[in-house]
Parts: sequence; structure tokens; C-alpha cells
Amino acid sequence: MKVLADLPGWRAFRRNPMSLIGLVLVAVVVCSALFADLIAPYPSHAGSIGDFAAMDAPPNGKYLLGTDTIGRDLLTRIIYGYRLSLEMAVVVLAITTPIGVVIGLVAGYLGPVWSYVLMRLTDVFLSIPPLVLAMSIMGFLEPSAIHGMMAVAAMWWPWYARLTYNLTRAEKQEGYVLAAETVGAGMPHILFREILPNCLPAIFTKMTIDVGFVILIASSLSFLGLGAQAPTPDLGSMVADGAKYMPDSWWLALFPALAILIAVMGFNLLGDGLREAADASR
Amino acid sequence: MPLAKPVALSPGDAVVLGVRNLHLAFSGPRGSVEVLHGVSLHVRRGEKVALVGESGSGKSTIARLVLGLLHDQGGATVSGSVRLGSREILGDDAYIRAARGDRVSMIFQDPVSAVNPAFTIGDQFREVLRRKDPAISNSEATRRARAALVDVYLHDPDRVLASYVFQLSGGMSQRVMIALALVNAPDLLVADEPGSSLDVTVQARTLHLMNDMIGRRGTSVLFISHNLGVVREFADRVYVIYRGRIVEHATVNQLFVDARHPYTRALLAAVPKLDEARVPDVPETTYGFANPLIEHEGCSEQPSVAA
Amino acid sequence: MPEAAIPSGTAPPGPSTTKRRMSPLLQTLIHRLVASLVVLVGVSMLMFAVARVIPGDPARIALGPNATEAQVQALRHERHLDQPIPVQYWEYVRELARGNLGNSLYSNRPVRVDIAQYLPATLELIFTAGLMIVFVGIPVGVVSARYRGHWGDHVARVASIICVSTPAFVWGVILQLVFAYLWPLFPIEGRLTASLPPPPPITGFFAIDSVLTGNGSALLDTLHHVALPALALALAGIGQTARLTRASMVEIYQKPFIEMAHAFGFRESRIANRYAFRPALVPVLTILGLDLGALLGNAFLVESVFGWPGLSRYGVEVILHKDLDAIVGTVLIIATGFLVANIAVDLLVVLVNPRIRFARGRS
Repeated sequence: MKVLADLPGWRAFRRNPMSLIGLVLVAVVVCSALFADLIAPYPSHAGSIGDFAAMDAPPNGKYLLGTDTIGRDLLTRIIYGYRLSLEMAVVVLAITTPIGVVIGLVAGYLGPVWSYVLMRLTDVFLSIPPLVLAMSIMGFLEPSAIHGMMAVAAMWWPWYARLTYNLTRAEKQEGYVLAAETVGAGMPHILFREILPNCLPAIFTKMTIDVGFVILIASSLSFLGLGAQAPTPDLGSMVADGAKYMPDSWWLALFPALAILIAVMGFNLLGDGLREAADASR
Repeated sequence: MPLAKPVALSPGDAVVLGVRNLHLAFSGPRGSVEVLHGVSLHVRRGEKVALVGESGSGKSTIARLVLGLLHDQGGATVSGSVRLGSREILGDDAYIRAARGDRVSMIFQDPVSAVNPAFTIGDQFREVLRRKDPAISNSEATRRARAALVDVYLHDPDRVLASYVFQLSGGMSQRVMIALALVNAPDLLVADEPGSSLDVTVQARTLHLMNDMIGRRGTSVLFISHNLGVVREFADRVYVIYRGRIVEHATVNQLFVDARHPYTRALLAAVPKLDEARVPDVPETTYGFANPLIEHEGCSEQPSVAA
Repeated sequence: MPEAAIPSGTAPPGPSTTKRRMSPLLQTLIHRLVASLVVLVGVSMLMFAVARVIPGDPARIALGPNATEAQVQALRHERHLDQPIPVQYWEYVRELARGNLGNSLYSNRPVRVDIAQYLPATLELIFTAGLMIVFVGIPVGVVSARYRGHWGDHVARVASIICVSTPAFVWGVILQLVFAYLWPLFPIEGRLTASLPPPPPITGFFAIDSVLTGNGSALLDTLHHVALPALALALAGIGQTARLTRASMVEIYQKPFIEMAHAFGFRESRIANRYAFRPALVPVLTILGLDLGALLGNAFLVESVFGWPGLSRYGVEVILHKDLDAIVGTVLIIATGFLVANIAVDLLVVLVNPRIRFARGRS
């Protein structure tokens, strides 16, 4: 811990109250996801069985955030919802980052023809608004959590390709690349052992912020009915279901909505803080 | 915030700028750091006074304090006296804000970055002129701007007025900067390393031009420089500053003929141009280093600054 | 003196200079048009490929389970579905060139007609949201930068982050709950009160049509209905724009020419609203283009919540019904709109940034 505290970036990070708030929020989300089975008050409510004696109950002592129309505890479902959201985000990023980064590296390093082709390809995906692209891909698949993840992954990689492309173009001019080339290092070596490590801080910062945005887009998709289906506890579909019962059972839509907000905001703040810390330690 | 009309220096004011015992400290993460330790200097009407030192000596800070630019920055504690004519400006924010651009103006080190790249030169002139005379018409402002550019020997002033600063060469933008600073006929001009971003021959020409214009208008100048060659050419009197303290004060001739402080002597030995790498490391244990200010004869401020 | 001459980039061509360069504005326009065309082709290919690659037989889906095999085969032949994929694509492009986007199974009308009916509503929503983003987001950013460090600045920054982190549908739900249900200041859904006849469809934009036909009550009603959905759509963009404007202005405030402005006694308000503002605008405009794309995408969500009869809601329906032609057509139109908006923003950036306008050679 002491070593961590000495890093100049950490000091900058610690000084910014917003980053700390982000860290706390992210910790809440991650812990909910990891320890859902231990934390959730009524783990059995994550499925399709609820407490039929307490259907559609407003927040009370027994069910802190209320229950839905078939008696399932909302707090439990939100906690499991976090688990699903985080799973989706991790899967999406695990797929898209390597693809995007590799394309960006290659496009940035190789000659103008490859750059042009690869970047125009990236543009194709970037020119369709993200949600539209994900939705249209979903249009050709059956709605489910997995397909939702695939759709989001398909539209996400261009951002990493763009970022890595710009970074690689800049790094290409640096001395160490020239040195490696002179020595006769092969392209894979130069790309992955020389250039990539220098791009990693920016990439990791983006990934942190992106967890939040993947959650945002995924919840938007499922709000429209294109993501996880019942009875899986998905935050977006919970808001969609709850919206039908407005304003009487307001808690059904409001709490999942706030849960989404907390998660996305937490990752945004954390990512911003990391970016400032990275700038400070340069 | 309404701008009060700044009081013009009356003919009786012999001293245009009077700084007495100026202390400046910044509070940082490790407590307070004093940057200026009781600096005193004065500039008489029509005089050209140079403030010479290496970077970090505090000379640029003094320039900004004279313009009232620093003391409202967080964590700065200022004490002492800075007078413009007979008006004290420390603590009188309204007055110094009114005086800036009107009674006192500044020339910056790098003219290309000091001028807004998003506006034409003509726009800049109109802003500066409107500062002094808010009701000035566009045509009148353009007329005065054109006259100012002619004064600095810029051919085709109309084309310059229509250009952006990045379209002009270094020498031209420096002249534009001089014209901007002098167009409102200030009493005092603070010049921060004028021409130091230009190459040597261009710098010489530009400084001659500036000298010429100042002479014609009788403007007083406070010159900040690390270049002794320039100082010798253009200054009447010189203050040498080292780490926030004035160590020697003499007329130009006196200084170059008979420098007395060890630091000044080391500076002169490092001619022709001082830059950070070449400034001699004079150990502070050198005999005479810790002497209080060495002031040559005939330089002291006349006691006629009215309270 | 030789240095009095201005570099030849701005001088009219003299006898010794090479032939006149194209204005950077035109250059940018041409580059972007070509790139956009390439991209559109790519998009159409992508959509086409995905559409034809899904499991299931489009002809069978179109005719339903009761059609005979012969009917299915006939439709397949008619729709060129028995040809190799590149031929199919070529046929598609030919139809596209004729303005035929296919037929919708959902509405049983040409897709083109569907789009023409629903597009103006979405555009009206997006324009309103766009106006909100520009006229709320940017001023908030400017004021925030000018008074940075004050409590108002902190409040604005926190609010901006909340705005950006919240999906548009969440805003839609919250705004609907608070301003339509709890305090019924605004209508819950729809574009016009049901009892009010819509203005004659001159442009399709109710607001403009109302003005053109002098129908004051329709205008007020339209604005009343578009307020909440547009706000829900715009909030994320407002937050984003405010943050970006603030950051850009703060960076400009560090520049030497702002110190010069202070040294020359320019008034603080003038510096904030004009002198520092103009150079700060360039990066903001660039991101604004991306935000427009986000508007197009998020319109889907807001139209669902507020029952807005726009293209996005149509899009959701056809996606849920797997109406292939309609999906592809809708996506192409949206992609075109997005590209056009981005080109417009790029041109605006070139216009506003004199450094690009007068640069010699490449923009």
C-alpha cells in the first residue's frame, strides 16, 4: 500500500473527490456482482418464483425496495442484475478489445493502403449510431442475453481500433521503433512487444469507462426487449416492465433505473480519475 | 463591473512606477514559499529601466505584479507598495484593472502565441482600442490601427489587419505586438523579454524600432531581460535581480564599467548571451555575495513621490 | 523590407506561383463525400450480408406457414433469392438506385412510403433536442469555466456526469413520472392532442407547418408535446457538451493570449463570451457531430417511452417482427443522415477554424 501511495498518479487520484466516489460506487457494483448469493436477501427471487403473499408491495421493512408484480424482492433482483450487467460488460470487452486493438495496431503500422482500407472498414461501423447498429444486428437474431452481447461486441470494436490506430501512428515515429526495425525485429514483435505496452495505459483507461457505457447500451437494448428475456433479472428490462405500471408502482421502474445510473456513473468517475492520474504521472 | 476612468499621470509625477519593499509568497503543498524578498525599484518618466536576471529570479513575476495580474491568484500573499504615478495599486483592484491597457501595457515574449489565433489582427486592434474608448466607431478604430501599423513600418497595413497572427512572420508579429501595446499611448510599457523569440538580426531591428517609438512618445519602459547585450543597447538604468532579491542597481554605463556584486560580475563574464546552461554557478559563500543591495551613485529614487 | 510580405498562401497567384489551390472548404467537402460514399456502400453490404445470412428462409417467412411450396419457390425466384449472394446484392443496389427500398411485411407498404411518413416526426424530435444541446450545454460550459472552482461549477460538473451516465430511456421514465404524472405540466405521450387535427403536411414538421399555416394553437400544442421527449433525448448530450465546453475553455484560459487579454484590460465577461470562446469552439464542434449520432440512436428509446410516432419506433417494431427489408432500409436512411450531419459539422469546423481555412495544401 505504501508503494502505491508514493506513485504521483495515486496522489492526484486520491485528491479528487469524484474519483473516490467513483471507486466506492464501482466497489458496490462489483461486490454485488461477485457476492450476489451471499448479499442478496432473497436469492430465490432471482428466478421466477416470488412471495405471492407480498405481490406489488411498496418499499417496506421486509422488502427494502419493494416487490414486483409476482412478489419478487426488487433489491435481490437488482443485485443479480448487477451480476448480469458486469458479466456482459466483461464478455463484450474481452472480445472487442483484442480485435479492435490488433486491427488498430496493424492499420497504424502498415502502409497507407492498409490504413485506408482498415480505417474505412472501421468507419462503416462508426457511421451507424451505436444503438442502431446493435439493434439492427439483433433484428436478425433471437433476443437473448448472449445475442445481445454479440451485437454490442460487434459495434464496439471500432472504438478500440480507432484509439489504437491513433496511438500507433504516434508511436511509430518514436526512436525505439526505429531501433527495433534496424535490428531486424519482425512485425509481430514490434507491434506487440514494443508499441502495444506504450498504448496500454490509454486502452485500460478507456476500458474502465467503457464498462459503464456497455452497461448503458446493454440496458437500452434490453429496455426495448432485445436483450435478456424473462425471468432473467436484467436492469433494462426491469425498467421497461416497471414503466408500464407508472405512476402507481413507481418503485418498479425507479429503483432499477437508479441502479443503472449508479453503475454507469461509478465507472465514468473512476475512469476519469484514472485518466487524470495517468496524465499526472507522465 | 464598471471601469473607472484611470487617473492620468500629472506632469508633476516624476516617477511613473514606484515599487517599494515588495514581498511575494506562494502557499504550496509544503507551506509558504517566498518568491520576492523585499524588492524595490522605480522608473521615472521617459526612462528605460531594465530588470536583469536569470530565469527563476523573479523578474517575470515582478512584471506581472506591476500589472496587477498575479495577486488575485489563489495562494499568493503580497505585501509592500506598488505605485503607478501617485496611486497605490496593491489592494486597489479596480484602479489597476482600469489602468491596464490604458495607462500601462505589456509586450510579451512570444508574439505569435500572445495573439489570439482565432481573430484577425484588425479584430485585436478594435478590441484594444475599444478598451480605452468604448464608443469608438469601427471606421475610426480601423483608421487608428492602420496608422499604428504604419508607425511600425509594416507595408500594406490593410492586408496585415485582415490576416491572422499565424500568417505573419516572427518579426512582423513582434511589430504588431508593439503597435498593439502602444496604440493607446500608455504611460508605462512593461516589456517581457522583447524579441527573445526572434533570431538575432530581426531582434535587433525590432528593438531599434521599439526604441524609436518609445522615444517619440516619451513612454517609460520597464524592460525584463536576461540578455545583457540588449540591455546595454537600450536601457538607461539597470537592476540586477537574483533569487528574488535586487543585488545591484546602476546606470548602464556604471554597470558595464564597474560592476561590483560578484553575481553581476559573473553575469558579465558569461557574455554574449545568457541562457540557463551558461549562467555561472556562483557559490553564495563568495565574498561580498550576501552584501545588502549595492546601489551606485545617482541612482536612488528621489524622495518626491507624493503620498 | 522583404519580411513585410505575407506568405504566398493568401496572396493571389502571381506569375511565379503554381496554379491556384482549391479552397480547403471544397477539399474537405470532396474528401468527406467520397469517404461517406465508400462507407455507405460498406454499410449496405454489411446490412445485406447480415440479412441474408440469418437462419430461415425469407420467402417462407414472408408468405407464412400456410403457403404452398410452389408459392414459396415462385417468391424466391421473384426476389432473386435463388441466385448467388453477389447477384442478389447487385439486384438490391439496382432497386436502390431506383429509390425502391423493398416492401415492408409489417405494414404491407413500400418501405419508402413508411419512412417518408415517420421520418419527419423523428427529425423534429432530434432537431429540438439538438437545439437544446447547443443552447443549454454550451452556455453552461462557458459559465462553468469562467467561475471554475466556485460551488456552482462543482454542481454543474456533477450534474453533467449524472446526465451523461443516465440512459435516455431512464430520463424519459423519470421525466414522464415527474412532469406528466405527478405534476401534469406536460402531456404523457404522443405528438399532438388526439382531438386536435394535425396541420397540413407541407414539410411534415408540425411546428413549421403550424407556423406556415398560421395555426397558433397547433404550434403551441406541438411544442408542448415535444418538450419532454426532446429533453429526455438531449440531457446526455447537454451533459457531454457542457463538460467538453468547460474543459476546452479551461485549456484556452491557460494560453498566453488570454494572459495578454488580461494584461490589456479586457473585461472578464468579454473574454469568457467571445475572446476565449471562439478558439475553444473547435473541439466542441467535433464532438457535437458524434453526439448527433447518439441522438439518432437514442431516439429509439425515447420514442418508445413517449409513444412518439417516429422512425425509431417504426424501427423497433420492424426489428421485433424481423421485417428484413424494412430494417435494412431504415438503417440505411439513418446511416445516411448520420453521415450528412457529420459532413455538415466537419465543414462548420473548417469554417470556424481559420488555421485550417488558410493552411497551405492539405486540410
